[in-house]
Amino acid sequence: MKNIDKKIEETLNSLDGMNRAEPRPFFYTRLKARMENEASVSTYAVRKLKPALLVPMLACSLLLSVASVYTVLSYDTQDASLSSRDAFIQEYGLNESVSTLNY
Amino acid sequence: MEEHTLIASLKSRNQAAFRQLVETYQVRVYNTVLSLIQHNEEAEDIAQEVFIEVYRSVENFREDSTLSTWIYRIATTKSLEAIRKKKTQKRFAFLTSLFGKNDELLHQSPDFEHPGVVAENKELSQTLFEAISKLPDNQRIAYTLVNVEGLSYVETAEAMDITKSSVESLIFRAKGNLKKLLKTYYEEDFG
Repeated sequence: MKNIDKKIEETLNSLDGMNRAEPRPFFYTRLKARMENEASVSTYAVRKLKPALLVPMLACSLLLSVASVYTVLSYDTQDASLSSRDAFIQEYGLNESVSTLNY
Repeated sequence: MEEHTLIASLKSRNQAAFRQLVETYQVRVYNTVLSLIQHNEEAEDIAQEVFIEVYRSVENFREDSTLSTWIYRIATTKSLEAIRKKKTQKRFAFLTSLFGKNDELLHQSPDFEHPGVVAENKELSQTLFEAISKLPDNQRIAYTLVNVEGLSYVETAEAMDITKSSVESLIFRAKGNLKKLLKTYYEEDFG
């Protein structure tokens, strides 16, 4: 037990008299190179995206685009048929009862 | 160059001032980061990030504390972020191993050897650094700043943005925890 206590004390004191660790030479040069490199990359945000995030994001974006195109197209078709019908009624001065007849 | 002048020059993006800042603080920053991270290559990478952060945010530095304690604060924050990131990566390590990915960062060296430790204490200090890495974050930072970096309790309190008595408490608990960890380690070793 005394041996263990002694060893613990020795271990806790093992940092006594230590010197500071120093980085490798030319630290500033490497730092500046990194800063210039990072500044030159204009698409910083895109670069930060990882493939694991990028793929689902692209899939969601594609899905939304398809859904939007489908919605717009179906709306335009309905709208177009209605407006041409109204234009026809107006142009030929027809009333509703005539215009709803099937020819 | 006086500190206030240096800060003013840094705020005006003076490159000579930035070089002076890096050359003045690089050893302190690297030593602090290395002692917390316990990995040589990563420590250099994070030390660079510390100076990049200093460069980017110096215009918001209000000089409430000294430049030195502000830089220590950034260094400990960046180191903690890296430690937490590594822990998260370790939690998912089993997934990456399923795909055969061998990521070096996931595996912290269990035998970290601080290059500044005197030769006869190398082995003991390896054991101590391993125990320090198991301390809760705040205790780990306080213990490292005081016992490795040699800061006073007041400087440590400023760097950690806590009171001096909180630092004393953290150091007291850190020492107690280290003794417990070392006791378990040596009991297994001797037993």
